[in-house]
Amino acid sequence: MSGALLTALLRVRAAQEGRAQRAARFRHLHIADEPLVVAAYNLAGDPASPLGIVYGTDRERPCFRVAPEPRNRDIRFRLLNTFFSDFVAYVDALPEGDPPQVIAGNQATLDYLFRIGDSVRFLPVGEGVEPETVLGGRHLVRLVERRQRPGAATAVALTRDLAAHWITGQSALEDAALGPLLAWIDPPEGQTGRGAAESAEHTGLPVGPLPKPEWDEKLARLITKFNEARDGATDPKLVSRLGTPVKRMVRDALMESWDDVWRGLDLLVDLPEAPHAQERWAEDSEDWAAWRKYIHVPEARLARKTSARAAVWQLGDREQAQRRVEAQKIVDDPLKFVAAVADGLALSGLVVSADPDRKIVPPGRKNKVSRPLFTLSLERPSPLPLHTEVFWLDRLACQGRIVEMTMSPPRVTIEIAKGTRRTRGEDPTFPRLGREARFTTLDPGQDWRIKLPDADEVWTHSHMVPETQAVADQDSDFVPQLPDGDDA
Amino acid sequence: MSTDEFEARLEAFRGDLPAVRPNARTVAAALDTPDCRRRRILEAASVDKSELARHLGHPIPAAQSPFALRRGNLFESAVKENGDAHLIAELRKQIDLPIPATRHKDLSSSRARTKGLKEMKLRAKETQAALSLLLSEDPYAPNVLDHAVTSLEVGGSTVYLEQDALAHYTGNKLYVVEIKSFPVINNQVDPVKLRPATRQAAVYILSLQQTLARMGHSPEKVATDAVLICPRNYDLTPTSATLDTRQELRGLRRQLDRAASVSELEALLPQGLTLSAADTEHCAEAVEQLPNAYRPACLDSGCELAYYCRSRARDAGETVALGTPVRQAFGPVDMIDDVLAMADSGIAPSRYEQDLAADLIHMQKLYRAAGGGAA
Ligand code: SF4
Repeated sequence: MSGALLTALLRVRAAQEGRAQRAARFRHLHIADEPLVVAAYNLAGDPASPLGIVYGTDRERPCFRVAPEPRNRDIRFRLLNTFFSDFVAYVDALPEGDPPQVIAGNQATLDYLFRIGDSVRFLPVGEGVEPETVLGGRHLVRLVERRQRPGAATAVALTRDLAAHWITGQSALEDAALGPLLAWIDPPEGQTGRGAAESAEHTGLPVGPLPKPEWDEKLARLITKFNEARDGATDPKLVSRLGTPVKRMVRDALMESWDDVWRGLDLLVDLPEAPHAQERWAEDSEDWAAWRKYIHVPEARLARKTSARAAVWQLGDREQAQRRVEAQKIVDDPLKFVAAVADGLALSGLVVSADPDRKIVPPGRKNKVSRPLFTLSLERPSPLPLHTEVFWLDRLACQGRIVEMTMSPPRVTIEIAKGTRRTRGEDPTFPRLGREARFTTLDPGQDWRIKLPDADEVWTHSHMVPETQAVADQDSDFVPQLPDGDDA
Repeated sequence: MSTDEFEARLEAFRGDLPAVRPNARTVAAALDTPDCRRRRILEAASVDKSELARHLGHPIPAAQSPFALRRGNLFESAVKENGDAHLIAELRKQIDLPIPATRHKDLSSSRARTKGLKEMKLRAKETQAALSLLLSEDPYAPNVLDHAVTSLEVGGSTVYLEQDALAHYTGNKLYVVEIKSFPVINNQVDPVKLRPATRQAAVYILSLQQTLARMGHSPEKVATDAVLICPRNYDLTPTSATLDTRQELRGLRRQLDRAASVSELEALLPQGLTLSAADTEHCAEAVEQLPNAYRPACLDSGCELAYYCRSRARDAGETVALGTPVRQAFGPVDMIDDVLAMADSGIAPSRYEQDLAADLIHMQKLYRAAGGGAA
């Protein structure tokens, strides 16, 4: 886990100060111009029986849909059809190239939205099931599923993303509830995080998808009354009239969730966006475009389960994405870099000796190759052992390994083996004498595309960096048939 | 001290607080908190911990919604309707029970009109009689036993458990059947629900093993796989799987071995300690005399004292209230104030933490320089 020691210290600090501590300076998540915010309550025990859903792209204009008896198919599908037709309309109205983004308060709500989508996406159209419902279910499942790929932003569980940006004075387990989490990050005037979180636990309802059992007891009585009154009828007007007490109760509760989700979203939006978040969003956008093309082909086939081959591919893809996101975060954000240092995944030090022009003849080779050498003076002994492979943070293509280290004074010497050649007519840059240099062991992966902030503007994100710096070098010791470009 | 005497002592300790009888769920849930002696004593004394938590001013919200309960009952009756039709079909899939050879018996209604513990004891006897017949290889013996009652020794007392549908005899093995109403969606079960279900199955299996042993049969006759029946996808159509419970059984046995020793429990319970519903302060003092081991995992363990213990741990400033990883990050330094003193001064409480203290002060410096601080 990244940042474990720093996180532990920040939790302790937060508990004592009564206030969450920042774990990030930047938002490592793109928020779309028009995300769709959703909160929902489900009937406890049932897998997908929505009592009520509130959704919309405008905080002031929430759409409420309530099913006073979601176990009744007609009543349930009236809610689902409306929700999904609005959902498809939202998706279709987005500008070309913009993928939809679904924002939920917590992971349980996202899982629930997945189930709702899954419960309709294979249904035959007709008998009360509208075509938009099936299509909307497919879209929704796709968006929530994609979220399993690290860095994807098509579906957001605020608890997870808030907890990645702020560390509270409670446990990770307790952070899974949005109300208490918000209380730590943004406690009401005059209250400590702990006090506010405890009262959110006691008085507030969870943001969904399950309300509190005590609340359910009252609701159960209203539903029973409603069912007695309608006596089997499902006529929309009658349901709407008789269902008013249920509707009111569900609406009041969902309104609280709605406000909480928007509050959480505002907190995230207020953080400046990290440069690579935009780039990851561009990938979401590509993926969405491909999906749209596919799903609108009439004979599009969907599998209930991922095939074994696809699963293997997916796993590899996700691991790679994970590595890349981790590396991108520490490039983008100084606080994430500190977390990596604390966990022994990175180090920074003053360059006390630099030999960028060093050339050697490696054992078993005839020609001289470029092997720049740098010694860093550290404040603490290096947590990275000898021979560790490291990447220079200012130019990740510049890669080497620790070839020497001393404990006192704490120093490491790093020999650069890759990224030593001229690229596109430009000389390679290296750590400079008398400057701070930062290295990480986090391997951004073969196919990485990491754009770096301008050297003079490290940690700011006022503009994107030219593409050239993001191109990986091809030189390597393991391709002996290629002549070494830097040979003397 | 004899078991009876000890039971009397536990009774006296409970004072005027209401009692609850443990069930498979509570026995299984206690596995999540194996180090907590407070919970063990309170449970051995059958203290109604949710009442106790209320008295202590830290009530825990109700655990189950009426909707969930209703659906659970609905599913169980769906599985068992038409003479166990679905149950038998699933058993056939899982353990090759040939349908014509099925004879089921419902052990839910005891002939005597008794309630409570007495009823359970009687039903346990009837279950034993049915099991005897079954194990004697009588070709006409019922081999699917609904609502059988078996017993388990926990902390020196006997707990009676009602099995969803007990067991079934085939190829010399008895199987425990557990009926759960959480869904299997696209052939997958939510692991959060599966874990407690597996533990409960282990509790049932162990109690069946003990019951057989008491009857002079080999406990080996009980399969360590349980048959789990759940609704498939989004309606109430049953589907099934077998659950391997061996790991949970081992954990359970270990735990019960420890809980079983009366003398050990006795040593943990201070002489003359009593709880009282009338006096909150007195009650809290008494509870505080029982050593606990609060961790945030308690919140998920079904222990009703979780909010109370958490509040105490937070008041005291224990790092463990922030999670086990936090507790472990600072070695033996386990109080919030001490961790911060160390991080701010770089001075370690002992030479063993010198490196840690230096790391912390360094990390803190980097953190502040990078723009860290309160939200
Ligand atoms: S909540 Fe308290 S009594 Fe319950 S297991 Fe945890 S520490 Fe023990």
